[in-house]
Amino acid sequence: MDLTYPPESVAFRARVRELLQDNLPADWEGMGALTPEQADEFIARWRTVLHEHDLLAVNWPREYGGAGLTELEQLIVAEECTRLGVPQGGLNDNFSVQMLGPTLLVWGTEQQKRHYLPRILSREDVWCQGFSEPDAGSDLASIRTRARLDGDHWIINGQKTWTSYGHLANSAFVLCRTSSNPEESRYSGMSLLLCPLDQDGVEVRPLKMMTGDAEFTEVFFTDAVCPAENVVGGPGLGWKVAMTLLSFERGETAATLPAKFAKDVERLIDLARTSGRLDDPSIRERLAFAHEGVEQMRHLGLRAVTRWLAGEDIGVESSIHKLFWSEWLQSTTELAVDILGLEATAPIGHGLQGIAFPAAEAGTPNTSGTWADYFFRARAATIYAGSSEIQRNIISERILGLPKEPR
Amino acid sequence: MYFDLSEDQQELRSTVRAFLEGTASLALLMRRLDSADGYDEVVWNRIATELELTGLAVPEEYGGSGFSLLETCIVLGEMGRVLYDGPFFASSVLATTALLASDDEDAKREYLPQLARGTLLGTVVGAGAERTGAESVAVKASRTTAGGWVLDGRASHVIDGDRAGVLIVPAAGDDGLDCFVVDGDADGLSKASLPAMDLTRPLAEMVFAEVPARRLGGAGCGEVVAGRVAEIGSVCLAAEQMGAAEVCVEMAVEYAKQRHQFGRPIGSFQAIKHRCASVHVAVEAAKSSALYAGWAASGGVGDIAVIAGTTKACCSEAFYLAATSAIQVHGGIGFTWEHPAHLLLRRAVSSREFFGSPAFHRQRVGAWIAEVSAAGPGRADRRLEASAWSP
Repeated sequence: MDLTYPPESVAFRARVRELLQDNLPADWEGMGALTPEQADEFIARWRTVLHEHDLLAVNWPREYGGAGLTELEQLIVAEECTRLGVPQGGLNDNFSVQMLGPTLLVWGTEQQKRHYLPRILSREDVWCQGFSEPDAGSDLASIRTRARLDGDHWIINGQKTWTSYGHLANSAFVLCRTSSNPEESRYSGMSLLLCPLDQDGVEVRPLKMMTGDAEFTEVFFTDAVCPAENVVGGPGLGWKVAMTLLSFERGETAATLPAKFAKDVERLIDLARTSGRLDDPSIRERLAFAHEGVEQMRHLGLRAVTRWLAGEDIGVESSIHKLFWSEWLQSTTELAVDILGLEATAPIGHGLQGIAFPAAEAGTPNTSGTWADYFFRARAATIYAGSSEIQRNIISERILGLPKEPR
Repeated sequence: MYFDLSEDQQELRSTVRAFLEGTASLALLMRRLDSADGYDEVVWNRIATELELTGLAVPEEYGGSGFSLLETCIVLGEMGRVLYDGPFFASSVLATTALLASDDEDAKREYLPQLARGTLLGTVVGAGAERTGAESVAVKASRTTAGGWVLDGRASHVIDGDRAGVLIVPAAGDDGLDCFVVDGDADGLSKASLPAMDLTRPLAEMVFAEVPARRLGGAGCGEVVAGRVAEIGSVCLAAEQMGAAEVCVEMAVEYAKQRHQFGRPIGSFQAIKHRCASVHVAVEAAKSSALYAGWAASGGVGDIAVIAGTTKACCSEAFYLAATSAIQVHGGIGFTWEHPAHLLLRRAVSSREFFGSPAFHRQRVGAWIAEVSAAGPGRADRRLEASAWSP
């Protein structure tokens, strides 16, 4: 057992920390302290800073514009960004830098890698994800968006939903049904297509959430077109490619998420103190329980990081993390509402700023407004990125080996 | 950055697991309990002399192997898996810890080598009680005219009290909590076995009537010993709880795969499957904390009192959840005497209460949080220091 980092990485960490701090104002508190307008401005500027200093795609190969470093450096960059309360990229980079890019590195042709990867970094292409549909959520394989090959183009018809930041993107990677053969399994016959959104056949509409925000969109494809070569991995391999893409759970979120949640507990303790609730034994007990959860998440994270740095696949175990933190977050935001009492029924101040997904950003003001917003956002945590019910299926079947039910 | 057992530690774990499966499995335990024979002394001797586990955490200068607490936690995890009923926890964990914490060189040199060899069994009186201060301890020490010490009072729920050859006894002295060593067969000491809920963890109640005692350490040593025993006892019990919790999950899953109803394995129904998944998550999370606590306590990293509290709370709950769920998944058969599930539940309940229930620890940690917070807003650094987060 050794919880220190290799000596060689100490210098790298110091350099990264200095670099990040040099590009921040002296009174920087974290993204959470910015107004929405300031946040937009900041993210745009910040992304450029990261890109210029080779910190945007830390472990992509150099030949495609990355820094060519390892998981360890990626982890360190993530930890330092978390420490300072700055994002690791722009709003859509979660889908492009984190998911599509690495997927192309696995499944893409050489020509696709050379074309798309640099354009992700330069933001010539801004991506969003076209997976879920109104009738295909947990059961992703039941998608109905179809694409047929017509000469040198795919023609796409259908509707995607829950597309994050679709209104900010100019491209989408879209999971489509491209063939149907009743003899084949329902997991075959799909393809992952790369589709430009700036065309007549595509319409993007905002989806307003219970929080009042509209970061999600619906995307309608009506005879939308993309070139025939815009398929990743080959026609019919869409499911496999999609599973690769969804598996890019960065090992470092297991390390950085607990750090963010620890800050949430800190704010909550302060909230209890200033609300005069810190003397209440039941509030103290619940705060201790919240702290206990953060500790467990940190320790689970240490385990995950150990495996990730050793090059092991932590895919299935990520279900354990997700289930734990999403339920913890609901319990903790519920505690916040109880600490606030009546004030929660008419929250004061704006909600969470920045990306704030899934955790609040550093510098978030400690107000009823931010906690009430957080409470609502937390209700989605057990639904997105694989609902708790799906996670329990995965854990019971793939980790414990229990049999699938007949379907 | 390596948060896992080393190869040597994994080897220790497999060796102990294989040994206990062969000599002290749950099946053998149940036979022993039915015959009311008590623990198997042959197996104990092998644990002590062949595997040398009893002296694992005793420094070499006192006749032990000089390993860290983490190795002891590994052994306890394996013992937890089989609900081992020998006196390891009382003697090799509690009594050993008490002596090591005492700073009494003479006592260490006299008793530790014997405890390490397993030839002397020890325990700590009052260990596992929530309150360990002088005002809560019901044993009082007084000076004799000859200049020695005698103890008067009573104590209960003493783990392995009946078979211990030596007792470490925190007792109220003139000014605070002192500590004493008492012979298991001392004059004036009456011991009675309590009918324990946990059949694998014998408990005794004791009455002290002018029992001659040897003082351990200086004035106030009892405070130090009781505190240390509470911390280390919690961390070690957590390790043991996690081994047993693992077995609860394994048992439930195995049953759910084999038991068929309505034409298919019951584990294929989501109600069963999801329950097993929820338990697994709770156990894996608590296990990670138990591993961290064992490591932190070995190296004196962070605030062990706080770490021990959070660890004991989540491990107690996870084990309790696993044991109750195992019974539920097994249906009617899980409720029978013949099935080991009830033994696991009994251990889960006794372990939940020894060294403080989850509620107790959360109240204490909550009070600590409030105290730290009183120093001003955002005292994250103090809380982080206590848990020893890396920079």
